[in-house]
Amino acid sequence: MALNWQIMALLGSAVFIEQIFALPGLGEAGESGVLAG
Amino acid sequence: MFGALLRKLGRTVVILLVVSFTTFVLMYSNAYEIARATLGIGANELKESDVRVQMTYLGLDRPLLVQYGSWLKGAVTGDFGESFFTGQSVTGMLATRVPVTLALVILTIILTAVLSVLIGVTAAVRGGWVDRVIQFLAVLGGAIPAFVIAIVLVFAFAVSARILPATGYVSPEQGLTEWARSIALPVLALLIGSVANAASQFRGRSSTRSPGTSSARCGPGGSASRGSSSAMCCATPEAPA
Repeated sequence: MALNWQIMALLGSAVFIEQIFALPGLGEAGESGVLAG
Repeated sequence: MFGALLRKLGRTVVILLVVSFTTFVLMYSNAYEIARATLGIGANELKESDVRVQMTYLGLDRPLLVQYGSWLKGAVTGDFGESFFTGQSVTGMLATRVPVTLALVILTIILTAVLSVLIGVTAAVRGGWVDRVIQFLAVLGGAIPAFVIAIVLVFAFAVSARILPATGYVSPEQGLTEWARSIALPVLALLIGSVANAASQFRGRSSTRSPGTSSARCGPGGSASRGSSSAMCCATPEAPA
């Protein structure tokens, strides 16, 4: 269970970090962003 | 076995329905503003009736439950609709973006598993100042938010040293080296906090299970004695009867 939460937290952080580094992932910033845009 | 699997599956479906419905309500409860936003910067000068027309065009004038039902029906078949802004299929957009996020997460998980075991076990086995330094760094790494680490890394490796790119992504098809360089800083930003947390856990587990280290310093009933961590003593598993 703890591992599941850690992976979920990591996924959330990854989406956020993608915005900082302008990576075209789920967290891509701007109007085309799927989750965080 | 089969019953437990069914129960878990049922629970997952309920959670998915609750989460998707809550998210849907939060996003679509202000349909007027969504319609206005899709009209662009000049929407502030438009009349309310124009925005209402856009709402009807996008199907946002329907009751929320009807909208959710329509979305759910499509989602079950893999059709998540189209983006209000770009008109592109959401499924297609996900298909191009998920691999980037997954690459980042999977790489971080693999490196976390390797590094945290090495660091955690080293701290537990060596003890002394090595353990204290690792514990201090683990607390520090776990306490600093990833976005702060990311900004520091950009300044250090992209702005000052100029050895890694600050932004942008290169797909693996264009060259593995360039791909690795493009995701090196994001992975490192995620890795520091992740390794710090996992290494602390491995260190605690290794210490409590190793007879030569901290468990020997724990008092009767798992109470902490001098020089041992109370958290570690309390975490010592009960011996089987």
